[in-house]
Amino acid sequence: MWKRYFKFIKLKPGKVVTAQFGQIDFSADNIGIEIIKALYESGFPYLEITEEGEAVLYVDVSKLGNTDKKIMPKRSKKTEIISSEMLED
Amino acid sequence: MGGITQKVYFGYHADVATFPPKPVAPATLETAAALTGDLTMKAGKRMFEMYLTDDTGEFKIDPVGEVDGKSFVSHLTLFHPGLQKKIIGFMNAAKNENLVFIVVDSNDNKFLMGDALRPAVYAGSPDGGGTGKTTASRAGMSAEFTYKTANIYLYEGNIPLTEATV
Repeated sequence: MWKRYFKFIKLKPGKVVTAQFGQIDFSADNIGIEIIKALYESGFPYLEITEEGEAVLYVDVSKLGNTDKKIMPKRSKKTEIISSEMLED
Repeated sequence: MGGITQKVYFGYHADVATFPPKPVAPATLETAAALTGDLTMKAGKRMFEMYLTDDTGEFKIDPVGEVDGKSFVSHLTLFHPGLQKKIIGFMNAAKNENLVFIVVDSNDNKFLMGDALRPAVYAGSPDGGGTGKTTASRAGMSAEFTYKTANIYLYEGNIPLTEATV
């Protein structure tokens, strides 16, 4: 899964003792994406992000449009009624 | 907590492409103690790990020299159990080779033995090696490596245990 988003570079896929997480076998497919992402963000020299990884993990919010509009969590109808009643008081 | 972990990492000095740079004009004591960046290997080369029996390994720092000429000699001693091909091959290869080691202590401090100018070298077998006399003896090989350095630094990078491609 992580290999869709990151490419292992400069070494043959295999074991590296990482400063952050100890020994990791980069030939395995089942390394948690959070671990890989944390390594990449800390400047780990053997990872390169793919285009897909860039698009999925690092979405540029400014390019999405409507940036000044705040996205608020949906409220239930009951909450809306109570809120408007409270405002009237 | 004292002692070192049950694995040390080593490579041939000649196989190292780049050593992490030493601190230049460090602003704090902490930055004066740490190397920044990674040790990288030449294409097709890698570092290796070696197992050692728990509580048999030690990393020791000895100050040496006279006033105004002080430096350090660091010592790594370890005992590898058994006399398998791997350890015999290692001893054959290491006895006259220039090496680098990364030693991890029980507090996850990593010490790099070796720099661009000076390697770690095999210094002998402090507790001997062989089969032992009795069947209850522990067969294996002890080894000591030394590294002479002006300063002691902690290594904060990664350790590549697979071949470099570039």
